[in-house]
Amino acid sequence: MAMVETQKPKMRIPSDIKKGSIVEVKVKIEHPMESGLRKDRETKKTIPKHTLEKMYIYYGGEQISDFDISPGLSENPLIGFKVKAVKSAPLKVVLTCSEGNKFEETVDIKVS
Amino acid sequence: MNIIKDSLSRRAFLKTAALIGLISSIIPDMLIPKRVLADAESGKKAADPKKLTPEEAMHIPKVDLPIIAEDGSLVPIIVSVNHPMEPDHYIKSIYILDDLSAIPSKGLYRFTPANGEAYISTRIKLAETTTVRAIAECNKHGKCEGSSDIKVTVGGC
Repeated sequence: MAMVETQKPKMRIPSDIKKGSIVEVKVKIEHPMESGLRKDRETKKTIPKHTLEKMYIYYGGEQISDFDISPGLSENPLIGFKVKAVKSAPLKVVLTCSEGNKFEETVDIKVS
Repeated sequence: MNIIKDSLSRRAFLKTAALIGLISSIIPDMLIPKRVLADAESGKKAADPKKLTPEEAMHIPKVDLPIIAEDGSLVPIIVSVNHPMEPDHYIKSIYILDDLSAIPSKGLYRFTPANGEAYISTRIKLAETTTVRAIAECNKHGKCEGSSDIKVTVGGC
């Protein structure tokens, strides 16, 4: 079965961040996001459910957002959200998968 | 004895079959879950979409979608709310949904004032030409709903 291998998520933030500005953070993760409703065209078998379920965002150790992700999102989700850069601190994203896997990635926000 | 029993059960079977056929032809709408779902999750809509009151303009989410999507499995969407994110007055969550997809929920996104802006950009799967709705929940003023129409050439669910 041609399955997309899940990997560590990738995060992107703007290079130049001023203190107090609102910046957009993009998170990309390679994941099949199978709903469990689709059938394989050749074997006629249902493809098992394999999707991301939750996404937590921590900024300087504090949780600032949590998202419930559904398989209604496309394969290899790209999620963008905003953060108010009030301090230089690490920004951590944690994603959980329906198969019990956990993916984490951290970037350092440096304000000037 | 056996002959009577058989004829009775056959009659009962035919009666039941006819009744089921009659019921399903009269009330097919009750069997469609889409309607139920649409009623369960909704918010205040703009009274006049062309002329928003200041409070409506602040609370109704803006849904950015392309006019036509050629590939329904990858539709970019941006939902944002032009609302201040103050510690005591902010947007708690944005819920994106499409009633005509096999999986109506496109995610529930919860925010705190530390986000600075209630904004989400992602890519979703759509099955057919539809109206995508977004429901934003304010911690003081409740739920407000915005929507956007999109034409989908090839569905991708």
